[in-house]
Amino acid sequence: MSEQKQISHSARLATLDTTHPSGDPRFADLDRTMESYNFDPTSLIQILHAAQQMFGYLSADVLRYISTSLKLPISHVYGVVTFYHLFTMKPRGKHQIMVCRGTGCHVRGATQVLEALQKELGIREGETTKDGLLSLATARCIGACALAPAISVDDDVYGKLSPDKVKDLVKNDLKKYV
Amino acid sequence: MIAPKKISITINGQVCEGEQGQTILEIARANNIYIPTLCYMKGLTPWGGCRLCIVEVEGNPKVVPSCATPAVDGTKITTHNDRLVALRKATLELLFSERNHICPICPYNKGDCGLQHQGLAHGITGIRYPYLYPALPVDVTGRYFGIDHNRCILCTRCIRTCDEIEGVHTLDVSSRGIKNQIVVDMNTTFGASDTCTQCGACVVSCPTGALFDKAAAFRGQWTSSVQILTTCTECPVGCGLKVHTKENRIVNVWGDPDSPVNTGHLCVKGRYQTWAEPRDRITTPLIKGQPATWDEALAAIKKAAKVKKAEKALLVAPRVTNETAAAIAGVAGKFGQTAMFVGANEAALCAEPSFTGDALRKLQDADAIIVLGAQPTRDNGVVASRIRVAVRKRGAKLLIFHARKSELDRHADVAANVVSLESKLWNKVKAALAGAQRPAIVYGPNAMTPIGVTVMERLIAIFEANTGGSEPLLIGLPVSANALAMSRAGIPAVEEVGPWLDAKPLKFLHIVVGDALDGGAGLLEEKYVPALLERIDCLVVQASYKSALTDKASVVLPATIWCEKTGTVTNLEGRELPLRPVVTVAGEARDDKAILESVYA
Ligand code: SF4
Ligand code: SF4
Ligand code: SF4
Ligand code: FES
Ligand code: FES
Repeated sequence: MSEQKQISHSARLATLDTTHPSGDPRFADLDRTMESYNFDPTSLIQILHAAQQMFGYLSADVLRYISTSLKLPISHVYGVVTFYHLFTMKPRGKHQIMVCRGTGCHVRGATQVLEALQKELGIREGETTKDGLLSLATARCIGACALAPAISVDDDVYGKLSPDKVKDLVKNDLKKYV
Repeated sequence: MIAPKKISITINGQVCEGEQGQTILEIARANNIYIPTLCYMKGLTPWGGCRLCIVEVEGNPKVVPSCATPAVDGTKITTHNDRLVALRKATLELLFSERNHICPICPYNKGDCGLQHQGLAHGITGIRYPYLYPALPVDVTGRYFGIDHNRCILCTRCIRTCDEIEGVHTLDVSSRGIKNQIVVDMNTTFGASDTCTQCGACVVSCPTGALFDKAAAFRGQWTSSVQILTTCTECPVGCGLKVHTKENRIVNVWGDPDSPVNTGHLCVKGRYQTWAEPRDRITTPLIKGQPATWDEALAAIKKAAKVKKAEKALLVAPRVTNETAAAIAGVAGKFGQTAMFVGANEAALCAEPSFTGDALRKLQDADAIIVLGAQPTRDNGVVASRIRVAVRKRGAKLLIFHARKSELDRHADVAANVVSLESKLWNKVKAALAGAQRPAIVYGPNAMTPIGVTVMERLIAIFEANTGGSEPLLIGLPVSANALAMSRAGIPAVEEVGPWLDAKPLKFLHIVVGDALDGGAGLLEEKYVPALLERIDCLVVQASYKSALTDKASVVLPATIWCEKTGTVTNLEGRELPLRPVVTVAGEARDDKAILESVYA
């Protein structure tokens, strides 16, 4: 609801033709993206990716819209979305904290790092802080094995972590994102 | 067509002939060589996921899944040795340890549960891996079947069946790894699904107790049930049924895989609605609502029938057997008028088919399908699945002209309301039909309305102008089950019962409703019919189920239902199909033909 309110009247008028009943201009963008892929069902992953960037997350409504437009079964779309960690069906915070659970990080204490982060932020994996600023997720190898155990915050990597360092990180470094 | 190249492979030292493109498993099966399988199912795309069907191919150090590996001419295959058996056992143990496979408390101990059977066959008595037993949900919100995810081995047979046979793809797998789970739509329940047609094909395909028919749950092994082949009489498709009974009760209805009509598939009507719904069965004759003996009922009718011939009429539901249709033609001379009642605009569809043979099989191979004024999803479920498969799997174009939206619309290239035909639309239609080689037009009752006829004429004109394309296969799809046999017996069809009743002053009316699921109540929905029936002195209703119509009758005669009948029906392709009794007759019900003959012959 609040999302829809943000869309000004003029934006609504400027909306390109979209078959989505809300008139949300982002659906017109999504239409164009799908059109650029020729509504080809094999481009589902690219389209989902684009949709997630437009909307921040993949709501049930967005998935249904994509499924109808590409004539793909909704269960198939859902299966693909839940297969890739990259996709999320929940609204995400402004910034993404990704705890690496790859083999390298795992053996060097990724579990403790994750636990410490959960404690310090007061949220669990897959959740977002109440202020909507930080989301916590895990990933397979983020490509910083030399710094294991590592996490990333948006595009920044923080490595060689320990529960103590996590405390420090949350108190100091994370402030710059907030 | 080029005949596929013959190849020959050696399996366990035995020379086996096959064709290029066949898998190792297919050639083995054709030569009666057994290879255990779980995720393989004949008629579905091989998936190669369970790894039970592994074999060794000489020269290849790895084992390969025989169900998904094409045979190569001249290769030597081993299906059983210590290594293969040990690997299969390990695979089975992993499956057993992953979820809850405690058979005695499985809702549907099918007795031929694929997993249980393979466990026993491989002599597995204990599991060396820790049991994981995640607590997974059980979904029993479906009307006729449920899914217990704890029993699921993720073989994807249900998914492939739903996708490739029913053509809707309601099911898929969510997540990955240990979190894998079968999902309905966007992780909803069967009860809440808006794509599932409840056809139940997935239930039949499931090799474990994960998907189970509610009526069969906890009722012992189905292998111990009695299985009888008969025919569905709910629509003119006439699907072959394989009915499973226990202690004279139906527990499952499966499609007959050998039926040329439905090749094992069914829709919700044939699979469940005819028996898995509570209905008030009439088991004795009734006179003015009170139970009576057959002698009393027949005497009452014979007395009331002593009026002038012109004052008597016989009205029949077009779903009785061919034999009953002949009997009706035989006694019609005793009545002033005899007719079968069909739906609006349906009469013209009840005549001889406009094609010869095998129309339903040809429909699957069509490359452009037009549905005009028909509701196959509602009325002829198996036809709808054939259409969906042709469209979704073989790339056929689908054009729908209808008066009402339907589930098929979402698969269509063009879906148009027949009452608003714009010229823009016709350009689209022409574009979609350009170059169609094997077009088919499936038309229902609404194709007989003036606008339907206009649409049909325009379509035919497009096909005639379509140089290089071929003439469309025209499949008329009536709603009534055995109307063709009735019209062959010379019984005229009436679409509006009111004027027919009003044509002559009637004193005596006999309505043969037979085993219509609504007990004939549908007749009362037509305007004036209830009032006209009030004017008749003696109304005899011959029906299987109680309804508002039987409540109005002076005499009610209990008729047998589909699973009690012997005889034949004629499907829309003109095939004569057998009905065989599956259970004993309920109470004092009698066959429609026998009843008519005992009263009027
Ligand atoms: S009942 Fe039919 S439509 Fe529903 S999930 Fe099973 S196969 Fe698919
Ligand atoms: S529900 Fe049955 S058919 Fe479907 S994947 Fe699980 S075990 Fe296989
Ligand atoms: S398609 Fe017709 S004949 Fe076949 S199962 Fe359904 S109702 Fe019965
Ligand atoms: S394992 Fe964590 S960065 Fe590679
Ligand atoms: S039967 Fe071949 S892998 Fe399952």
